[in-house]
Amino acid sequence: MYACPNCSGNLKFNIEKQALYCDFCNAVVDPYSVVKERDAEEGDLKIKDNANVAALYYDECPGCGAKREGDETVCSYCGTSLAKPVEQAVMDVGSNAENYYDVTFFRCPQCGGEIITEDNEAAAFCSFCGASTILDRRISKARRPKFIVPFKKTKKDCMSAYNSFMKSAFFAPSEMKSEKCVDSFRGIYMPFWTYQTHKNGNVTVNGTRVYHRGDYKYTENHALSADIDMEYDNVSFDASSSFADNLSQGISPFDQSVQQDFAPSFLSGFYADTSDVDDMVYQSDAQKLIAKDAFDKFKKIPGFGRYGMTGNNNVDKLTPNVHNKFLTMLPVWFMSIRSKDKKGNDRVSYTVVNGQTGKIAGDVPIAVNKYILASTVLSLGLFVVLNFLLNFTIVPKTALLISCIVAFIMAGIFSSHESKIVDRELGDDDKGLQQIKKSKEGPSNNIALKKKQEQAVKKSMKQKSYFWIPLIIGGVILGIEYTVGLVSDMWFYGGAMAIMAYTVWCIIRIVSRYNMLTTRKLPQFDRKGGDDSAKV
Amino acid sequence: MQRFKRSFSFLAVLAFVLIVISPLSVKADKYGEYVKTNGTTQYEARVLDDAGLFKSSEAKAILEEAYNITDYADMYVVTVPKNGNSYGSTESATDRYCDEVYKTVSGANNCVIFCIDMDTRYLLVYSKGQIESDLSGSKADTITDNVYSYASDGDYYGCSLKAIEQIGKVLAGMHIAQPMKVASNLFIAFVVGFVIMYLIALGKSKVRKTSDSEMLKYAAIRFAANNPKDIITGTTKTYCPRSSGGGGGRGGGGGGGHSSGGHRF
Repeated sequence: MYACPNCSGNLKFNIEKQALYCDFCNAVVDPYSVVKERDAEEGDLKIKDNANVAALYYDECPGCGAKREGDETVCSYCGTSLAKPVEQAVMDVGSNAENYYDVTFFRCPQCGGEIITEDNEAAAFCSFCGASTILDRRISKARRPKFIVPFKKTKKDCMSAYNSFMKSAFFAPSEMKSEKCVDSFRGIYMPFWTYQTHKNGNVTVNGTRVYHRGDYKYTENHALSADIDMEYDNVSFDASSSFADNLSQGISPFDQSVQQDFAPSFLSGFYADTSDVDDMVYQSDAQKLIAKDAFDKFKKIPGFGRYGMTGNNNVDKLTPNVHNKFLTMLPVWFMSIRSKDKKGNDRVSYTVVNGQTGKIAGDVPIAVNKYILASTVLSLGLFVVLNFLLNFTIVPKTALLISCIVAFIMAGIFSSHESKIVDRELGDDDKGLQQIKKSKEGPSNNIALKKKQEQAVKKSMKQKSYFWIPLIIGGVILGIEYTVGLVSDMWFYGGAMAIMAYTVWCIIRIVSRYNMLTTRKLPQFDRKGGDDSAKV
Repeated sequence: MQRFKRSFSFLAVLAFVLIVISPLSVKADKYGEYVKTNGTTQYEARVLDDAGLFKSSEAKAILEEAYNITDYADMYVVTVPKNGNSYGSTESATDRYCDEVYKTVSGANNCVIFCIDMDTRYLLVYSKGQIESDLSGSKADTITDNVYSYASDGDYYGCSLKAIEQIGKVLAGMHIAQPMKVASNLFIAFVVGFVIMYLIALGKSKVRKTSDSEMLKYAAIRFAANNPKDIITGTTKTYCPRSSGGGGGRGGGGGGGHSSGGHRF
């Protein structure tokens, strides 16, 4: 805990004041000016002894130059904070803790998810798998982030963003709209890798211009070059395997121009996730993103706009070099909701809100009963319109053909969903999880065999679309019609109705299986404590 | 000589007319076999039974029933014998046959033809003129759908009577049973309803991907391009003649369209 210099109460970071705040005496304290009460016994930075504490503060006020007296943390003349930036303090202390800092971890015994916090209440609930369980507590070292963007949006702002988000989510299960659920948002600092890139030098891109003159088409090939001097800084990707790529990118970007030097005291009153994803995992993504943007800018160079410049080769020519990368803690309001699938297995869905901008992204499952009800009401409405307001009829053969086409489309969508579901279940849609999985499995000698095995696993996990049902029904009826002769209308209607029933069944399956994409398997992190068979 | 020239001209015109109407296998001498004209509206009812599907008494009964339609339009009941439709054996051949009957025999501003084509095994209700809005293709489909089972059983007389009766009801603005319309609309409504709602549910549920440009919204970007150069590295020349004329839009009306709907039997 961070003790208040006035009353020794627990200081917590206050979003509105953007500083540490004491609830007991209303003191507002600079986050850089405090050290952890527990540091002496737990060794955090090993700076609790007097000599080291002295090393945390300037001898002279950086504001007015007045000399620091006694245990002053704030200049008594001008009010300027006398605390040194943490990086400098750490260097001055002479500790080797530049890259790591000591923190209290809480680890979920069920999923192995770990969270950093000073709040002992965290011990009752896991943010990653939603389990109500007693979390294991330990003191350990965490990779030290370089910067932090403090929370700007309060929990109230976050709840209001969530409520307006849920207003338009008509098909969301009712429990997602409950007060208890809304109240379960937690402020978590998520680690992100921030990349700083540059590119200098001549870039030549191939361009073409096509024009007609008379009966001839002319295609001119041009070499378009320019001396490029570009820098793209503060491009970030999440550095935690527990934070799904689609969610982290869904709430991006963060304005890192306001980032501050990291100090552990910023975390007071919040939680933090640890970084377990290598900086190389998303580096190529960052480079591609930048190259694409730089290529768009290159195309706008005066005189170049009239040429066609396409192809990945051209884009690749603007791929920048990464000259610096570091961890930044970015603020995220995080909510996890547990549910059970049809087989009774626990699933979890997440909703996250950008703690700086308020942008929201979430897994919103579709309540199948709400969907069927709404679809039936809409269908009846459409029937009334078609039957009584529009003079519209289709002949039985057309009805059968249309039903076959719609059925095939839905069967195709079903298969595509299945592929996505399998990727989600295996963690193949998240680069961070993929890296963790690969490092767990170790290197493989027979890559072809491994790929084959993976394909077999994926195939066994996919549910079948039974696309042959409409194929057989439609094929048999139309086959008889065109070979033997007249088929009664009743056969066409019967066939169309059977295929329609298949289509509706297929859609309902898509919707209920879609929930596999909006909920996730309980996370099993590659951290001690994970238990696949654990249930709550 | 003058007389010879006049006769030759007459024969040439006659030959031309015969050539023009040759695809029509309806025999001219039968056109008037069963005809009744409405003195008030001048519309006529006709039974052109080239296929010989009706007994004389049946044809007369059909003519009487068809006469009821002459308040609104010419009403023809046409049958086509096997191998009698020179336009082909597809369903559109029946449509073309009726069009020809209309042009060569009726020509009235409003005309309805109920055709039993034994060549294409197709029933068709053909309408031309202002009555098309009442007796639309959709309505024609419904009528033939309601009566095709009679034709399938070989009851062409019953089929014709029932069809004319329903045509009369439609033209009089009365209701006819439309089981096909109800079934097909129910079918369409449910499939479309479930698909639309699926798309809505998906749209409301899916995590929106942040665009590339938005991802870089807060990135610190400096992009300078100096000394731009444009060097031509080669030119290819391909012969590519521009098409002459161009589409020029759709052609003229050519006598206007018609509505029809039918059913195999």
